[in-house]
Amino acid sequence: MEEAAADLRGGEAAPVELIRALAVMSEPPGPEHVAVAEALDLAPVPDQALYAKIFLFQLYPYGSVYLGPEGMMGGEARSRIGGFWSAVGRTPPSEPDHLGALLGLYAGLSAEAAQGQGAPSRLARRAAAALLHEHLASWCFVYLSRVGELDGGAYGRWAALLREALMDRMQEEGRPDALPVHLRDAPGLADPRTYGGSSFLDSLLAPVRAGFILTRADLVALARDLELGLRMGERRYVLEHLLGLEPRAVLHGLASRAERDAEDHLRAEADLGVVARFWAERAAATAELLGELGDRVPPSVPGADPSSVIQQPTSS
Amino acid sequence: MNLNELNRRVSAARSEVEGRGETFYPGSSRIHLAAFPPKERWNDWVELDSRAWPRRVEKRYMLVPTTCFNCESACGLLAYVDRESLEVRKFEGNPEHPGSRGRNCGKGPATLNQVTDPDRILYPLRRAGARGEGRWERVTWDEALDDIADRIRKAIEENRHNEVMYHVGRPGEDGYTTRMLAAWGVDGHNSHTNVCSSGSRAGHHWWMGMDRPSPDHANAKVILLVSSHLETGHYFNPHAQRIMEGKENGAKLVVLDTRLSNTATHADHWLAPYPGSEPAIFLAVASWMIREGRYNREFVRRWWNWQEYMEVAKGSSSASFEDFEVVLRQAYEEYTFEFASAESGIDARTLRDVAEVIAGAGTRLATYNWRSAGSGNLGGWQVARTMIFLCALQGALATEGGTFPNSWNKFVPRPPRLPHQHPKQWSEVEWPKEYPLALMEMSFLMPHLMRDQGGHVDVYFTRVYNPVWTNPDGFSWVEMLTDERQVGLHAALTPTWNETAYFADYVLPMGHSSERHDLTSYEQYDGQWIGFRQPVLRAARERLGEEITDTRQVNPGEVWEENEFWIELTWRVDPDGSLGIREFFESVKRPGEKMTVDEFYGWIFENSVPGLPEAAAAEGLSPLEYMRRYGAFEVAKKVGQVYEDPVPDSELEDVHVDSAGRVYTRAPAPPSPKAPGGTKIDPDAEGRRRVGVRIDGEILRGWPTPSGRLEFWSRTLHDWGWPELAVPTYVKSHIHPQNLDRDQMPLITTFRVPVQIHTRSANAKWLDEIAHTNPLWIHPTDAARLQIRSTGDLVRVETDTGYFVAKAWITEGIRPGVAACSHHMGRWRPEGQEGQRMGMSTVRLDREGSEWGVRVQTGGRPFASADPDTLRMWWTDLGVHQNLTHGVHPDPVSGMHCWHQAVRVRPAEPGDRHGDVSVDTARSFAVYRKWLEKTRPADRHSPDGTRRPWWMLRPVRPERAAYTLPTSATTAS
Repeated sequence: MEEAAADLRGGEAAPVELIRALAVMSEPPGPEHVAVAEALDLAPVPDQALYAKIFLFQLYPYGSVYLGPEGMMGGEARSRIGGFWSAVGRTPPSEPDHLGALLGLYAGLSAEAAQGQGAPSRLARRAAAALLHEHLASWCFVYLSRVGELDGGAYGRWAALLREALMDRMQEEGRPDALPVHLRDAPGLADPRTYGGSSFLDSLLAPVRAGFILTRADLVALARDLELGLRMGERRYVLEHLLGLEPRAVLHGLASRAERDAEDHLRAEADLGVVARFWAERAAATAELLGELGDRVPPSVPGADPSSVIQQPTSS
Repeated sequence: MNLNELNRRVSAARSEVEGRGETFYPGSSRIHLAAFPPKERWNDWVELDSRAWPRRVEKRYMLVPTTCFNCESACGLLAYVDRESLEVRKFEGNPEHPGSRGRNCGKGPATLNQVTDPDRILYPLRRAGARGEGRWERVTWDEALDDIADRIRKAIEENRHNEVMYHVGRPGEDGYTTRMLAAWGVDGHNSHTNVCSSGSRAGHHWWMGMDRPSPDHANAKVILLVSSHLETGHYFNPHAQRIMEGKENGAKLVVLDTRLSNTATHADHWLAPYPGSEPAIFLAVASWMIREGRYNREFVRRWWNWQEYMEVAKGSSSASFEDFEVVLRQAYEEYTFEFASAESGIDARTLRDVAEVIAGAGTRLATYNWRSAGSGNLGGWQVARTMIFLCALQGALATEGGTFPNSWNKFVPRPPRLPHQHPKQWSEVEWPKEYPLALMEMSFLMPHLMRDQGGHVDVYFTRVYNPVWTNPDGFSWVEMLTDERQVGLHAALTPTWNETAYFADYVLPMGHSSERHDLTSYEQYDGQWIGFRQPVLRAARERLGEEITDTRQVNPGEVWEENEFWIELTWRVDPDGSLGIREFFESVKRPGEKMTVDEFYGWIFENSVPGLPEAAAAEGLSPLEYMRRYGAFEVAKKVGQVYEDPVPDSELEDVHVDSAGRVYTRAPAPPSPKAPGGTKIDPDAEGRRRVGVRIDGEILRGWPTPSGRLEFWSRTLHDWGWPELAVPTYVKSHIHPQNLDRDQMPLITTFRVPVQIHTRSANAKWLDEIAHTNPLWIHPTDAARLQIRSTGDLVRVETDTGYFVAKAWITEGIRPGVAACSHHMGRWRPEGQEGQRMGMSTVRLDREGSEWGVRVQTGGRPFASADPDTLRMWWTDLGVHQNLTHGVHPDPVSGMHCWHQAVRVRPAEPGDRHGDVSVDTARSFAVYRKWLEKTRPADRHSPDGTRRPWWMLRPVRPERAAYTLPTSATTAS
């Protein structure tokens, strides 16, 4: 059985049960979630279809997707998070970077800190703070904003509540001046003029490189706004196709999205400090590059080879 | 609502939900990192019927926990009982089980195959012709019970207690049957342990007074295995999952295995030594650690019995610890890496590297020897003794990440109506005077000892045990079992046909793991748990409001369970209570009435399991209801270094401390909820009981050894005729190169194949499909030398007593110069007999005097049955029964059968068929005689005129007087 819930002590200890309960809600919903959802005021439990839409098709709840330079599950980002589990004496689960797992770990460490005494308690508290800063705050806020944008219902309210709870913890723990390691080492967006179109597309879909999250829904919306035909496939395929149809408009559309997100990130700077600044700067740089690339494309190049558009050297 | 208020609200909701015994955080959540049906829905669990796909058809189940019975791990199972048909549809893991934690190996789910096996035995049978003739008639349970009970009663009334014997394979339970035998007053407990784990047990026992290890793999820095634990072995599933956890946490895995087993493939350091040289390697590591000062001096000083060693063995009663260190260094200086390299064939530099790894573990060294070298070699018990030597040098005993003794991680609760009497007679067939230090009964010598002693057993039970197939020299067993002068009545208690049951008078069908009650507890991590095996259909029907009074009401056919069987049999042995036996099987609440299984376990759970009544009450359940619902309970976790526990003042009364620091008290032992057991330490001359040892002025619990300390030097071995083996040392195996002829090579037989389990699993179709044969592993260089051209070629493997014909598997996965063949295959049924068609070849047994032959008539093939899958059987090769060709090799000290064989391998002869066996039991008897010469019998070496050291473990302990050797037998005491 889980360790008993820690009582809040003068507002200093983490709201352990709240965080655990919020962690559970990032899991596929089922009848078992009724009691948790009711306690969180999120009842009724969302249905499986909504869960699939948000978490399986748009916003995968894995830290490595948002922190890794590949923009995919796994890789060095997941290994680093797995290493953290080991460093705090836990056996890393098979998906150590799942949001639910990370929140569960945070709650567990916080409970240890609240229940223990002396050095073990201090150690647990320090570990919880490190987890929050390095492996949660480094991506969660960006992620949760997008969840709220996608769903105005239970998951939107869940995201807002989780954001509030984590923000509260950030304020309690204090904001470190140094960037989390994931962000410190992350390469930026690949300029197609230097690295080629393929690398450019990959990096645009890697949030930590682009500074913003490009969901399937974003691409659908972009196609709809530009009245472009949409070919079904994974995001990279869709994006490549859209760029082939109307590169200038698509690049500008993406630049607008990045710009808007840069502004959003910047608004969180007061609470999140260097992390918000990092994401804002990345997104702004992306917006600038996309705009510049878009400007260089003639107004309409129907049927143009998208790779030739985005690979065309501009400085020689 | 602010965050704090919301947090409190969630907390309150959790308390309320969990207070109802329900799950708040769902099992499928990553909060628990597992996916299991939440326990509050076990009564009505809904799943989609996979066979109905793509239609969505809901199936409703009751999930009822039980315990797997396919090996000794006792992993938790959840039976999915169909609510409509009340049939078990599948078995999965029980997440509430602390040992297995919801995980199972393939053998757990395959229980379903065993339950639905079309060849299983459903009714009691009695032989209709001569024993072994193969003619059977169905009888009622009453007929069988009355016949057997009459014989037992007569034997007891005529003071022939020793003519009643119960021979058990895997017990799969703790204490029920030994309690029964104690109640009967018979020294008739005969186990299979001396063909299994006695070697390892002996090595542990003479260090710690406890006979098995319980390594804390998950927290270890270095895991050292002489076993193939990641695929087979004792406690395979509970240990394997923790070994992998340890590896994920950075532990280094060192594996000694002559074969490239699945386990070896996961090792950071795999050593493939010449078989039997493992102790030489460990001694070289120990010697280097001693020379380099890489050991825990303080631990050694405090806890080893070095003073006793220096005083008795070295004649220096005033020696200092520093003096001992000098002696220790000298004693082991011959064991260099070069010496170990010459013995093992492994490069000295590699050994040095591994030594560095082991020494770096400190107190986080987890070691395990299961079978393997410990059960293969003459002196194999030194494998465990030298492994624990490494732990003892580092203080890695009962520490986090270290190696625990089993008893501290095991909980056997005290049963009701515990018999107070002990058997008055000593069973010389089970505990012969030639093997006074044997860890367990010399069971595999039974035919030979019966012949030597002119013995007679009037009622012989084999219980889930198959000595004809499992033991070496199986045809000597057949000869004994078919001789009614030696065995008066043989009752085989078995769920399924086996080679021994063919030679029984009664075959009595007993339930599989979901059809019987048992209570288990095994050492699998630093904690203590109990697991409850139960007939799941009985529990399911009771949930629906039915009253079940006899497990036969819910089991298939007339399959019974042993618990109820033994109660019933005992009442028929002593119907009026005049023998003083029946009282132990009478109801506690209603004396004079039969005790029921519900009452037996209900009493234990209410009175002998700390914490269980409270946990049950918190859910509004009785303790029995709680165990029926969850199937397991964790009694304690993080038991830690019991030997360092201070003895409380309440136990110290009129204390006497002897010159060796052993502390005795007049205070009675506090009542314990555990069943009595373990070693027996004599009181002091004035009758005080030993309560601990004084270490640096503190009175601590210490170890259950005669000295109260870790016994680096064993006075027992020293005084009982083996002074040269009293400290950890190296004994050259019987298959050491110097003991082989030029054309011989060692044959390793002691390994299992993954998913199969000895004789138990031949009726599990899923397992049989995966593993059904046992080829001879042979290295390409040997194959070339022996003119074996390709894998699949037939070869003759010649032992001391005969030969068997196997298929070669040419592989670099075996050390050159060594052959290997798993002893897990080669099941057979004589022509005309019933049997497991899925896993048994049909054979013709030929006999001419002492010469026996097995000739395979048909291997596997499809057949029609109630199960359509049997028509899909595609495999024909069912392996070879090699154990028939093994002579008995009892280690003269531990009593362990030394399984490895010295063999000659050559291409098969024209006419040889795969699976053929030829044996001469006269030659087998000569082998027995030859090994008997190695012994140092009690009548010549006992220091006190007894048959066996009183302190040593014994499953059923006769009264003290029975330990005394007959005066005529004592010549040298």
